[in-house]
Amino acid sequence: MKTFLQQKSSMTTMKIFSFLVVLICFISCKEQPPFIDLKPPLILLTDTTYIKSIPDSVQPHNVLLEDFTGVRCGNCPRGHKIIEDLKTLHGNRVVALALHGEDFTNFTTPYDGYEDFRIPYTRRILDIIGKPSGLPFASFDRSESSSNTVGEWKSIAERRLDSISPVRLAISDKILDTTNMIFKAKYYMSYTQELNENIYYSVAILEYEVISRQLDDDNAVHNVLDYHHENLTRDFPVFFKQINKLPITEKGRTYVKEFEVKLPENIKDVKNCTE
Amino acid sequence: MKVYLLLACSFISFATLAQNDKGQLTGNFQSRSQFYDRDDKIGANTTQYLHEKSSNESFLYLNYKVNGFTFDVRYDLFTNSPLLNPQAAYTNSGIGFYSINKSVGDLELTAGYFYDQFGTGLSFRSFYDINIGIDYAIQGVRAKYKIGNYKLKAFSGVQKGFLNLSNGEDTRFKTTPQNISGLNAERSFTLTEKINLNTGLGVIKRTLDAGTLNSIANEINAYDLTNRFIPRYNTYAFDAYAGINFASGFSGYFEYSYKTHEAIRDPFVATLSDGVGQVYFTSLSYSTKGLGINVQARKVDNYQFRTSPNYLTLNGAISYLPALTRSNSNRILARYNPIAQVNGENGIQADIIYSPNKKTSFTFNYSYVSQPNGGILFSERYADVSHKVNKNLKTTFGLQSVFYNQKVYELNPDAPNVKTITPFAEVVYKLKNKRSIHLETQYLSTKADLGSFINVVVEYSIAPKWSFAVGDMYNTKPVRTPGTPQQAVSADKIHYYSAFSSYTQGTTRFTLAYIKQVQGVNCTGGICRVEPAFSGVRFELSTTF
Repeated sequence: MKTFLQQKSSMTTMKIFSFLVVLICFISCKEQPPFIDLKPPLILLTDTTYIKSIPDSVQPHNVLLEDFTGVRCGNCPRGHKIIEDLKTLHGNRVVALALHGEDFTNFTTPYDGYEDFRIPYTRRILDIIGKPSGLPFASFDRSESSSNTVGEWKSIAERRLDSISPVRLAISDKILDTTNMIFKAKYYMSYTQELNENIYYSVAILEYEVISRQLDDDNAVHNVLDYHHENLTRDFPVFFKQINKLPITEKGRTYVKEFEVKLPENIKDVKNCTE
Repeated sequence: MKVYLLLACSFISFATLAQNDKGQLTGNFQSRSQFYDRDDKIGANTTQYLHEKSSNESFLYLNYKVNGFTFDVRYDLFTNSPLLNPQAAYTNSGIGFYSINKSVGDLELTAGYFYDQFGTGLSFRSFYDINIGIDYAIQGVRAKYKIGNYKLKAFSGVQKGFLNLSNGEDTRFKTTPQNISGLNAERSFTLTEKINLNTGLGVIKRTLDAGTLNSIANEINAYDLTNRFIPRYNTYAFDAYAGINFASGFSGYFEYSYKTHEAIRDPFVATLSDGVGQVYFTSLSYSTKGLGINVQARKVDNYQFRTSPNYLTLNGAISYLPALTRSNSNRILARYNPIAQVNGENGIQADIIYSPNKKTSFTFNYSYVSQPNGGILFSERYADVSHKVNKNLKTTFGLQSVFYNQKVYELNPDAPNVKTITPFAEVVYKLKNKRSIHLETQYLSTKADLGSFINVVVEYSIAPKWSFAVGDMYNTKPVRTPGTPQQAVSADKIHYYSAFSSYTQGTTRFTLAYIKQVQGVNCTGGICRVEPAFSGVRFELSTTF
């Protein structure tokens, strides 16, 4: 009888051990996976290359300003204002992307009942350029020029506008099918000088005038429920693709790529979209 | 450098303690030097034959026990060594192993490197085999605790590094960045006076580092959409095992291991895929006077568990899946071995030893390994009879037949299946004054791989100190299938001569041999790898103290 009781007690201990193992393994917090792009690939209608006998003239450099922001980031609207000022001054030579991501959860976690603007590409961009110490943060042309100080953004952007671009970019045949949520465009990327480095391109879908909640330390209301979110990056149909894989690309080399992109379903008003 | 300082400080500190308790220092030393004699005919022309001309591997292991503490340290030296990569010359040296162990009552603590395993090692086995240069030591901490009839074990650490054959990266004296942690509980039950039951449960958690996972994610993002999946940082392997022993001679062992989702690299096409894995293993035995029977079966279903899916072949193995076959020590009989197929295989092996009297014994073995779809990978039929004619003469005769899927086992798409029939004989004759003569011969008949061989070895021993042997493995009917590595070997009928001598004094043994060794799979402890031919002189020294 004693042996039986001892064994029963042992079995109980074994069960407790098994339970602890399962508990440790599965009740711990869920792991955050890396980004895997499971979207259907975009349709490439044209993909060709040729050399222009008379190369294009040099194009002034447009600046890509990636604004890493968040709906709970009270200082971020200051950066939004700087960007709007830059766009007023320099028009479409300033290409701004507002990027909401999963890092800095204190700043980026969506409010209950409001839309989640976060996209996984934001973290992938930070993996490429390096994670900042906090928000707001802006990257300029994904170069070494990046800043957490909003006051510097204008001068950095204008410095970069003074440079020239080695690749001339032109867009034609733009069609926005609002019924079927499809966007089509043809892109021409032409080398205006010989290059011995890799050039990458991305295509992003932006939406403007999206009204949602935003913390704004400069606003008396503080929690602005009808904040106008501009340059909201919805998707990257093409993310960080290399234009060509040749070690040296000659002057005049032109790549033509025509895409048909299915627009993300969370877009509120397709008319407020651009690529 | 920190490690050396730590070790130095530890030894100095405990030298003081040792004044009270003198402690006990033991150890061993092993050294192997090879001098290369290029022979293009057999394919012995790797870098050592062309450039370095000689190589050495030496290992000095020290164990010091004092005041309940145990200190272990091993110094490893590799000069121009082919041991880690048979195709390259590797030179490096350093502390290959160190650990501090202390028992406090029923609690035993280890810090530094350690070797361990759960069950038979299906989910986790950390071990070391110098014959093929593998060292899966874990560097970390381990605690063992006895509570009544329970044995609990927990550890956390990282695996010792290695020479990565795919990119040449050398972390042999460092560690890999992936974390491995484990929990294990074992319990013995006495069911009745004649029945004992031993059970165990274990779980292993392997966490990928961010660098490895990001590289995997980048690779997956480049796949076609249909082949993409979300990889995971953490993978768990669960292990349950039980062994039962009956006083009547029956015994049984069952083990099952399940591994959760992870990115797995297919060794054949090198791409990643997502999957779970499982292994079933069972062993049933019966022994009585004059008869021993053992039957083993194993089913492997997509089970490879490594520190990273980016590591291939023998690198970074956490799980231990040895070849499920008879372990042949003889050079010819051990030529073909079924390396466990981690993608999937079903295997069975049966051994019968029957001794009708003290003079005669019969051994039978059958093993069969197939792919999950039923395609045969390996089979072996083996029988021998051993008879002690008189006090001085013992003879053994036997026959072995093997089927070996060389295409799969050696990743050699043009290789035909190898089918062999090998009769063999062995005679040991004891002379006067502790002298003896040992003669063995085998004839391996096959129309594939390198073709047929006859092997003859004669050994003369003067116990306990001296031993001399000469042998010849002769490629009687050469075969060189186009498109296979065997084509690198001359199509001539080649002799693989060898001459061997050894001298033993106490615990010290010297061996000196001239060897021509055919290329093929070298196995030790069931773990195998393909090695090139060898031609040259080998000097070995081993001692314990």
